[in-house]
Amino acid sequence: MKFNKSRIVTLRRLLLGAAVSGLVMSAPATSLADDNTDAHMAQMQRKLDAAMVAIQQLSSTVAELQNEIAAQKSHKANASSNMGMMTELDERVEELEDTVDTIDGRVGSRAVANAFDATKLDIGGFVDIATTLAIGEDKTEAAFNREVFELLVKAKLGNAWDLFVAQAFIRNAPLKFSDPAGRRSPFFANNNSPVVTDTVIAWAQYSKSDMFNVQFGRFITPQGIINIEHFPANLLDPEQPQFLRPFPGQTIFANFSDGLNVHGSKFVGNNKFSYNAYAAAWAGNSSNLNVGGRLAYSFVDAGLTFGLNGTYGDRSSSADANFAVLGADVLFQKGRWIWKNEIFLTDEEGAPGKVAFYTMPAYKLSDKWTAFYRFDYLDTGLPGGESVENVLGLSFRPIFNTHLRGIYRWRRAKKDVGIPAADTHVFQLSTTFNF
Amino acid sequence: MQNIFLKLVLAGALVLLAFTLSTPTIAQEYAVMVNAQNGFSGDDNVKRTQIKRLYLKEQKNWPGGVEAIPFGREEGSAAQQAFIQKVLGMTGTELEAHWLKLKQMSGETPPRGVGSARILARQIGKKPGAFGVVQASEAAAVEGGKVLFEFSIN
Repeated sequence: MKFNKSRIVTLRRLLLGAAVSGLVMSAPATSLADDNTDAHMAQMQRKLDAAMVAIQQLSSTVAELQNEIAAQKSHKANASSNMGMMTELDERVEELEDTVDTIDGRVGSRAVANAFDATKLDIGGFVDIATTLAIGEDKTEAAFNREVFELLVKAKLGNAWDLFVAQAFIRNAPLKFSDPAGRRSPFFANNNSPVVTDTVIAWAQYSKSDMFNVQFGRFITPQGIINIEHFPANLLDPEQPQFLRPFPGQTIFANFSDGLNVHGSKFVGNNKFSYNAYAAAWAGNSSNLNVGGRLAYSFVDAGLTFGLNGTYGDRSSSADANFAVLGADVLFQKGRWIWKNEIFLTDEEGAPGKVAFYTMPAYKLSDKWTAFYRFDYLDTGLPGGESVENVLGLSFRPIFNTHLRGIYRWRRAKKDVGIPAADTHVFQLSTTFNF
Repeated sequence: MQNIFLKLVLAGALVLLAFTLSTPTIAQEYAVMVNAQNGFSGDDNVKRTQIKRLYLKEQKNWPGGVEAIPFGREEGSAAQQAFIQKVLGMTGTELEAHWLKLKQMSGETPPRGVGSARILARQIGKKPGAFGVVQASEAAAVEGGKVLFEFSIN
């Protein structure tokens, strides 16, 4: 039963009015007899008392009704408040359900991998496929399809400990020349070789701070620019400069080293300083330890990085073949331009020194298209060991994890005493898929 | 009669033009939140630069040594796009290329993207090195967090 407040007030007024009227109506006549005065007064007193009782009862009833109305109002207010809370709780539950669904997708029954002992495990990799045609000075043609599949695994072992492994499955063949001077008739060595596996990277790292990290195991030799970037997915030209070929390459230094690498970086204002210092053996010569390092300084706002590199060691496990490498590099990366430059000089025991240099400007035509050129010079110091490559390429990234390239490479082996110059034209289409 | 009609049309066009020009563009305000214990200070530019380095994992610790725990927002969300554009100063393609390179070289992955502002707020409030971006209107609800700086995008 619902009551309106104004109705209650009106009802109370009516009841009071009725009570007072009744009192007045029941009052004695004005012709009061003296002997009856006391009796009348007593009677009036009784009636007045009865009226007061009635009024009190009515007041109580009204008060109860008022309380009931107040209770109903309070209930309505609470209900409204509860509705707000319910809506908020619904929203939270929906968010939690979304989150749980996402987590379930990652670690639930559909999870593709679970970590055994690591606190975190990331798995990825890439597939790199290239088809290459080489036409030699004597018009010999050679073609090869390369396939590389690499699995990258990063595990967090503890608060300051990480593990990183790159396991490669490779069908690859380096471009070589079958003529006696090794420059006119191209062929791909091991053309029919099956897929081989290679643990490209396998290091564990202890990180004390940004400035001090210790890496041990197999790591990419921290020299120059391109060898550090290393992987096809990062490179405009998956065929690295001449001084880094063929893999694992010891023309100047090896692509990979097995040992200890201490490295770190520090921001100085807007600029960045970084260093590497390593002691490691190279693949194919594990009995000799090489020591080396790299210092780099980046002017971040200008997009410029300068690097200095050095290595000292022994190239051969069977003979004295000490060597020293000195190198410098400059990287400019700002806006649409990327310009990489590296130079390396070596001093070899019992052999002539080597010189390697390249300059590689690249221009981003759009977010997806990049055009690049590389002038690449190598002099191994040996007879007929001087060669120049001019590389022109176009890179296209239709989506961020797919990289397509078309590359033309003109290789000129320079003439030497009794050896004529020879040109080789190499055409390559390649694609790299990352996951 | 024709003149009056022409004048009316012109007047109408002018009024429409004035209305269009005077209509303000609505700017969306965002706040980069850090844990309340975070003592990093500096001008707005210094703070942005620091957040950029930590988010991109060029630096892994806050100055002072606390390990940074960067959080992103859900991929494609307005907050994440605003953060990439205004704080990182990059395009989406540049950012993807950055993560691709880091993945190959050291196995690093992008910071976790959190869809819910409430869940992000809770993470920031609980972890000393954490930071992330929320709408400025949501910042007050971050218990145990504080605003490092604000930015807006049209």
